[in-house]
Amino acid sequence: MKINILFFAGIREMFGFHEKSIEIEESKNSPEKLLKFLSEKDQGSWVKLLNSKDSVRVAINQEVSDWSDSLKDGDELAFFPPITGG
Amino acid sequence: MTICIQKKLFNIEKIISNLRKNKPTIGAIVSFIGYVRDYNKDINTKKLKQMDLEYYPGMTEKALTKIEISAKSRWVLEDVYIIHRVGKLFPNEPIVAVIVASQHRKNAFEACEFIIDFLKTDAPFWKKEISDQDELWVENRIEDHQKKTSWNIKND
Repeated sequence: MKINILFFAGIREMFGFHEKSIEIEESKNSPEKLLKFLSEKDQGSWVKLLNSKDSVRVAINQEVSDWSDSLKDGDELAFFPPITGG
Repeated sequence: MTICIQKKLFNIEKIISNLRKNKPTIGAIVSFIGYVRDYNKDINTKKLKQMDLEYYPGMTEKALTKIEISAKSRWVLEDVYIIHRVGKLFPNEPIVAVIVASQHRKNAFEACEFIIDFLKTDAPFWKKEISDQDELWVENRIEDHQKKTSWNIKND
């Protein structure tokens, strides 16, 4: 399935880009499974993201979500730090 | 109900004047305006040069709409206007304004506070402070989450 991943703020800077579209097998159907898979496969910033998971927020299709929520083909998945607007 | 995310400065008097146009039922307007401070609150020796504000196009607007709808379900309001700037901001410039119009002041006061409290924790914006010494992403404050939680206790 295809997942469009977005990165914001410090996480975007860590990766060096804002957006990445990936093709991934159906079994990696949650942000947690996907992140674990990518950190083993590609390492680098994915490992850093996994290690700081407790302070990272996820959104699926622009709704705040849990790490265990399900992902499906065509979803937009965002990783971002805690919100600091206003 | 208006939500506006923009780079340029805003004119609060103009917004209020437009909001009141043809609405004689408005008896009270409460506005909150947040500004860029010219110092870093943790290390006062640093001088802030610039603040970069990032947001999540699409999700941020949705989150703000949800907050407005939530406020309107709790209080009888005539109108709500939320404006938040993004991009490069400089010390003393306004960042955000929440303007709430109602028939009587109590609803406007409470709803305005409610909206800014939820904006602080639920609307995806991120601030980066650029000082004469370094560039740091602002960390979230526990007080902001406590403020939001206190509304749930009072209202749910």
